[in-house]
Amino acid sequence: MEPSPILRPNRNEKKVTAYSNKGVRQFWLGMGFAGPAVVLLFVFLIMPALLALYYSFTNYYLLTPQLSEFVGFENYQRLAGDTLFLKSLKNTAIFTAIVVPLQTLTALALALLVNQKLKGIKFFRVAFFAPVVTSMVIVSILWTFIYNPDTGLANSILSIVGIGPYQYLMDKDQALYSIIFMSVWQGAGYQMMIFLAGLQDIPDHQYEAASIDGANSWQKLIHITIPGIRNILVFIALVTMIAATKLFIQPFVMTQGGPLDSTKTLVYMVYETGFKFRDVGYSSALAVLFFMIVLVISVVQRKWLRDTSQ
Amino acid sequence: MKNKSMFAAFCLLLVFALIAGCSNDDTGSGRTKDGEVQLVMWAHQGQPKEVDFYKKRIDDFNTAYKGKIHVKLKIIPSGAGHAYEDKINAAATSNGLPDVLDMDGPFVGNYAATGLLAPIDSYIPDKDKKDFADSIIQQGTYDKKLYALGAMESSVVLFYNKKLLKEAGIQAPEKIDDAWDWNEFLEVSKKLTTEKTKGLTMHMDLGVGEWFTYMGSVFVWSNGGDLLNEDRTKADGYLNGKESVEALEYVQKLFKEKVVSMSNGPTDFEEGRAAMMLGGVWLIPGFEEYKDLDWGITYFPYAKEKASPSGSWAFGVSSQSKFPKEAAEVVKWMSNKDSVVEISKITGMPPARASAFDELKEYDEMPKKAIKDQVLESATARPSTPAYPVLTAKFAEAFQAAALGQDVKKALDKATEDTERELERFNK
Repeated sequence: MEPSPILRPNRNEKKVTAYSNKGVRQFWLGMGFAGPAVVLLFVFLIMPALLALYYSFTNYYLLTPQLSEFVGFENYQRLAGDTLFLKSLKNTAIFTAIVVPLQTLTALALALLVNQKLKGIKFFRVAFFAPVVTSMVIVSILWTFIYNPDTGLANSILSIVGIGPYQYLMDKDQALYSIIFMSVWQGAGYQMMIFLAGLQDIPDHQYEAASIDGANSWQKLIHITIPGIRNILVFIALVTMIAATKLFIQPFVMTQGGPLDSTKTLVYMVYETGFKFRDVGYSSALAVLFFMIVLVISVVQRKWLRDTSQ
Repeated sequence: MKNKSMFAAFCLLLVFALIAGCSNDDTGSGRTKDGEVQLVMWAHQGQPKEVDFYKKRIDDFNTAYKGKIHVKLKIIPSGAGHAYEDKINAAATSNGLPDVLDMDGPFVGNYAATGLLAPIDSYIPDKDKKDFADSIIQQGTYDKKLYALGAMESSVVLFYNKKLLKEAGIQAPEKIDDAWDWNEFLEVSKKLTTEKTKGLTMHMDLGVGEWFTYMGSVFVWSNGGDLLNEDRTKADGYLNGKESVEALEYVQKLFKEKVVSMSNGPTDFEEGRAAMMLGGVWLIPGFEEYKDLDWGITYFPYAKEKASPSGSWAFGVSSQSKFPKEAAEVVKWMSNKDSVVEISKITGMPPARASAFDELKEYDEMPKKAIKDQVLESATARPSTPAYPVLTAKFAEAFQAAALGQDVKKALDKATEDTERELERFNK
């Protein structure tokens, strides 16, 4: 600790020289603290991203990097005619388009529910949050059992009310939606917690004033709650969107992208092409394109949400 | 001031720890001062008993070669997907391969073609090579050179529930010449299918992966077809040829007739929910847990020619090893007669050497005689080609498409297109 000048006036002289060097010292100190993070970011994030961009113009084969050749835009041309790529793009788009609103609204609804001042409400908060702290791989394996058409819990429950049985993950038309449902269940608890923090920030007197004015619960929700957590809503929509486009673990564990490519996503395809098929060049081209798509959507969404919130 | 420098030192320490963590100490092979060669070996994490065997055999090796060679064995989780393979791929690019590694048989071609493996021909005496089953030599050979040898062979047989077959009045074939053909097999499966039990399980629960190709390509071979041409350079006309289409259409029929299910559980046969099972012989030790199960084995059903799955994990020497001669000693040790007999006893897998069958008397009579017959008479190796990773994934997808009732020809055409593109990469 630097001694306080008030307590140690006799060292004032010395401090002056120290001050003249302060700028330089602070610069190196700052670099020292930022250094490890900057180095790590560069080595593990920026450099791989730049390398991927470079590899996307080569025919890099995973096991024979020394034989790589520059092939120009060949990989990108192949992408344009790849039906599997279009299918993966479509699956990722459907997943994102459904998960973002559904998960956000579910989280909001749960947050409103557990924000009630009732006895034992903490139990429900923990219950809704529990899936979030469970590993996605475990959750996926669990839901594979639940979705089993012959012995699974899902069909047993539905049969009580006389619906079903469904094939879930075995059916090319149901598999993606089964994964969507399970993903929302798993992820909503996290957003609920963030919403909850926002809800508790809204001062009680606003609700009291509204009550005096004769507002009903619905009007309070629309005119006080929603505007009160607007920024959080924007943040959650953006974060959920980016996370949703990265869908990988669920199809990897539950369906291996099947049946008939119905749950193949962009990230899954990047993994499969790069590691299983060892086609790093083509896989990099996919990854670069995926990055561009997410970038464009994020920028547009950010701008749009900012404009509307002003 | 003191705290500050302490903190700085701590930060530095963290950075060093990180750098040290990045360096790969798995490749710690070298020569000690007293001239002992230190080797590193990777093996995949199979069944616990198999892993114990690897550990014990390597301990024995280290004792036998004390002062000359010492092997450090590392067991790598193989996972349901491709974890072990991913590990090898990553190590290959970062110069981190061990001296000795084991790998699944059909991938030898890919590893050999890309220069990951060193040929071991010169270290293995010809007399010794002749003792191995043909299918084991085939799977370990690429471009006329030997790259890998295994201790185990494998097979898929038709397991059946004796009680359920007796109730239905069905007698399972006892000789390979009497094996059921496709029509008989379908009829039997229909008879055995009731409201409570399926006639058959094909382990569709294993998902789109190697199993579908390993078990499924037999239908193609048995129908007189093949996945690739003889030179292993062409898929068009083979993978999507008439024989292949017919074969998968037959598989499709089994599902359409509902004698087999897409959604079987992993132990449907063991628990009596399926009367028969096309299953790997490695499942046999697990049957002990099911006291009520009275099981028998018969032959893989055929169309025109007898065929059965083959291939298993094999040991090879990495091209990055500085001690290929010593590493080859390890491969020889792991596939010598003692190893072969012992692993066979432990895992229930058929031995990779003909001479080993003499010591394993249980293969002289049913049920295990069926396995021996298949290994020695009908075993067919999966094609040894560098394009195998794509070929197997695409064939497995087509197999699943067939099971789901999709257009078989279309599915195989698509698989052919992707395989052709991959073959082109290596045919250049």
